[in-house]
Formats: sequence, C-alpha cells, structure tokens
Amino acid sequence: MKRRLTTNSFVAFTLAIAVALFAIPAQPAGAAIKANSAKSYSAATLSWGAYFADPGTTPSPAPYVANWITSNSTQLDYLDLINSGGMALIGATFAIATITQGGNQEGVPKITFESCVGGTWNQTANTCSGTITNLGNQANGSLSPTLSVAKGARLSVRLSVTKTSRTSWSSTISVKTDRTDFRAGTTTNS
Amino acid sequence: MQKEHMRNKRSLRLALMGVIGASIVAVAGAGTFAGLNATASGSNTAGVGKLSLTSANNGVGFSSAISNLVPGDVVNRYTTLTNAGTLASQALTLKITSTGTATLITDGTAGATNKAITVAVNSCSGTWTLATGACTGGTVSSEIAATPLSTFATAQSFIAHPTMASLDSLKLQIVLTVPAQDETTVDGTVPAVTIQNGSVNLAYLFYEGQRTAATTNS
Repeated sequence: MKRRLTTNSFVAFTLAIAVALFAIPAQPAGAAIKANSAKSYSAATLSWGAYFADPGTTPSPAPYVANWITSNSTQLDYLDLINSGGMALIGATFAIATITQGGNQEGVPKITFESCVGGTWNQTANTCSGTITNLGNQANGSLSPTLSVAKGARLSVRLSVTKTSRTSWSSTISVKTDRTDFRAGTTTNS
Repeated sequence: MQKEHMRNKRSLRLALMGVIGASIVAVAGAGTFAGLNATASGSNTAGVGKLSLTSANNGVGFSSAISNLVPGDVVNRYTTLTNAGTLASQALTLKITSTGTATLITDGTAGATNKAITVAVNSCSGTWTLATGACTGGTVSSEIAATPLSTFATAQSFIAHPTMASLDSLKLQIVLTVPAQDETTVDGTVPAVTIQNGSVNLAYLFYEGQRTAATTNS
C-alpha cells in the first residue's frame, strides 16, 4: 500500500513537471535587443497682465471706476497701473466707458491720461517727481499707449477732465494686455 | 535483496528528477536568449552583441529647466546620442511623456485657441556651434519635424538617421517652441483657457532596436 502511494506521487510529480515545461512562458526565439536613454527637463511660461488701482493699494484685479461731479474746474484723479504679470510690459490698451447717471454717453468729456515716469504723482501738490508723459485722451473707446512697466512695478497715472455741465457721471477703465504688449519671441541656444 | 531493489528505484527517481530539472532550466534559458545566442565549436568563437544608447549633454542639454517662456520663444538644447553597444541599431525613436499644464501639451479644440509646445529634432553632421545654433562643417538634417507634445506620447521615428552603426553618434538639436499665439488678459485676469503661468515636465526617451537579424554563410 505504502509502495503504491509513493509510485503514484512520483508519477504525479513527473506529469506536473511535464505540464510546467509547456506552460513556462519562454521568450520568443526572435526576441530583439533594445536600448534606450532617458532624460528630462521642465518648461514654464510667463503671464502678462495689468490693472488700475488707487495709489499704493493692491486690491484684487478689477476694472477701475472714476466718479466725476459737475464742476467748472478741472477734476483730477490719481491711480497706479500695476503690472501683475510675470514680465515687463511695453504697452497696454485702456478701454474706457464713460456714462452719465442716466446711462447717457452724449456730451461726456474726454479723460486725459498722464503718467509720471520714474516718479509718482503728488496728489497734494499735483506734481510729478519724474517725467510727465501724455498717454492720450478718450471719453469712450480705447487708448493704446506705449509704456514701460517692469515686472511687479507700478506706473503712477493722473486722470484729468475739464469742466462739465453733466451731473453725476463715471468712467470705467479696463486694462487689456495682449501679445503686442510684451517682448517679442526669442531664440536661445544653450 | 528487497532493500537493494528499493535503493535502486530511489536512485532512479532522483536521477530522473535531476534530468527533468535540468531540462526546465535548459528550455527556459534557450527561449530567453534564442535571438541572441550563438554557439562556439572547434576553433571558432561567436559572441552576442549588445546595444547601449547613451545621451550626453552638449552645452546645457537636459541639465536645467527652461523658464520664462512666451509665445514665439524657441529654446534649442543640444545632446549627443551614441550607440555605445557592439551592434548596429535601427528604428531610432523619441518618445516624450509630458505632465503638467494641459494647454501646453495639447492644442486647443472646440473654441480654445491655445497652441501646445512643440518639439523638433535636427541632427548635424558637423558640429553644433552653441552660440549661434549653426551646424559648422556639416549639414543639418530634420529628424523629427515640429510636433505637439501630446503627439509625442507615441514614439516618433527619426527620419534622416533611423539607424546607427556601433559606436556611431548623432549630434542632436532639440528645438522646443512655444508657438506664436495671442491671449488677452483683462484687468490682470488671464483667460479661462490659457497657456500663461503654465509648467510642463518633459521626459525624453530615446529608443533603438537591434539591427535586423542576418543569416550568413561562410
């Protein structure tokens, strides 16, 4: 009895080996040699953008709203153009929408934009510690002045309007920056 | 007598198991190396060749990141690819696995106009002059035309030089481009679909296969 069991085990073992021989997934006879070389680096892009804000403040980016009153004298407003992008700006487009309290755009005066390059506007004395540059004037429409605002820097700007008989009116000023407002593409070899 | 018979049977079993075990090793081994093995007899010798692909920076190469990119920027990096093995190779390809900002990897569709970063590969039969990007003393061949990163998820074949002899080198220029495109940022707020402030990691994988197997008679 014991002998038969041993013989049966041997037969079973042999059969299992035979099955395993066929089951082992051998590589195909034509297996090819391969080689590779792996390297990596990262690439990152910059952003561009700007917005107006009250001098010295850094609010969340939003259009700037200047409110005007009926006055026979020149009215002034001071603001900063903040370069919020990752590189220097060489231009921008100011989109100006001026309306009266009743929503009328007729007869609203033009706003003159003047920057104080290399300095800031003193609101009390109405003086510029740098060089005054006229950026243009507009009531409704857009201005696309040439600028030079470094990354993270501010450009001090004065708005002025001449006397107006209009009652209450306001100007909403947005700043748009596109591909023309920063450096051209370059080719580098390194 | 009975004991001796039993001992003989045990020895026979052990011998058989040994033969079977040796067969397993022999068959499995033969399968794995069937494409490469060679046997030697008499005074002749035969060896199995090997492939080895290496990439060496020429200049900065792959050693540092690229930053501050804007539309229209082109960054050329240089590397020398060498088949350092003893076998000639074929089917040279480049696969780039890109991870990061989707707009830098895949061109925009359905209204989105973003254009993804492209990579092109050129080779120079002379020497690359890094200061100018010129190929000095040789000619430039386009190996892979400018192709968006997303397309490189599938390996792209080298066109001009898909094969390399043993110890042969290819002096490559890897041209990374942010295609010219426009986006308008309004009051400091970038568009919903934008390439701005994006970052992508590019994992390059150069690949070569063995030359076509040959039958020789001698």
